Amino acid sequence: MGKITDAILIKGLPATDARNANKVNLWALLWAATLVLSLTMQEMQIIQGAAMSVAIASLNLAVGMILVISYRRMLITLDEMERRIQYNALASAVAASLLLYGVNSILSNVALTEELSSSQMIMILSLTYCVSLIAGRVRMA
Amino acid sequence: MNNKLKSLRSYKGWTQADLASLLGVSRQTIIAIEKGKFDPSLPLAFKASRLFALPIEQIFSDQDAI
Repeated sequence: MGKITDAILIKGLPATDARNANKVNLWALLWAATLVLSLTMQEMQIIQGAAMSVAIASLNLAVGMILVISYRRMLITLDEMERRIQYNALASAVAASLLLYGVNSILSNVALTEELSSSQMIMILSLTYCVSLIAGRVRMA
Repeated sequence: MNNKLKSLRSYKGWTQADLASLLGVSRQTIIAIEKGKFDPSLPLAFKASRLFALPIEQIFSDQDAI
């Protein structure tokens, strides 16, 4: 249990890496917030028309791009073992999401499952990334 | 890959945290290298070589080598 807690809290990470990771987390939170807020405002018809939708999509895209840039910067300066764990987690997340999407597409054609929405895909990606990250850290501990 | 990092570190009287700080990596990385769970990059191996004033092959060795 201690190993898992340490893995979640990234115990022992150099201060610079921890600071960069916090920046990435904040941008990720902001990106998710702009996405949820945009979709909610559209559903509640607070935002109407193409121009407004393009404006909020641009905001979401801008925050997303800053998130990607800060994540790349974090990876470049990151402790080398942690970097390898991050790469493995990214690869696992992409692979798991693709496989799950493929299987679900076949099953949804015969109405055994429902088609995955984009938000469900984001959730699967995020979840498999987090699980792979923790598993990688526990394995190396 | 096998390594003598633990014995060299002990000989110098350094803790894992000391060595991590001197090599510019996390303590977790030092723990994983010492346990043989993680193979360091070439730049890190050279850094260790300079730090202990030993050739790389005296610190790290290929376990598959004949």
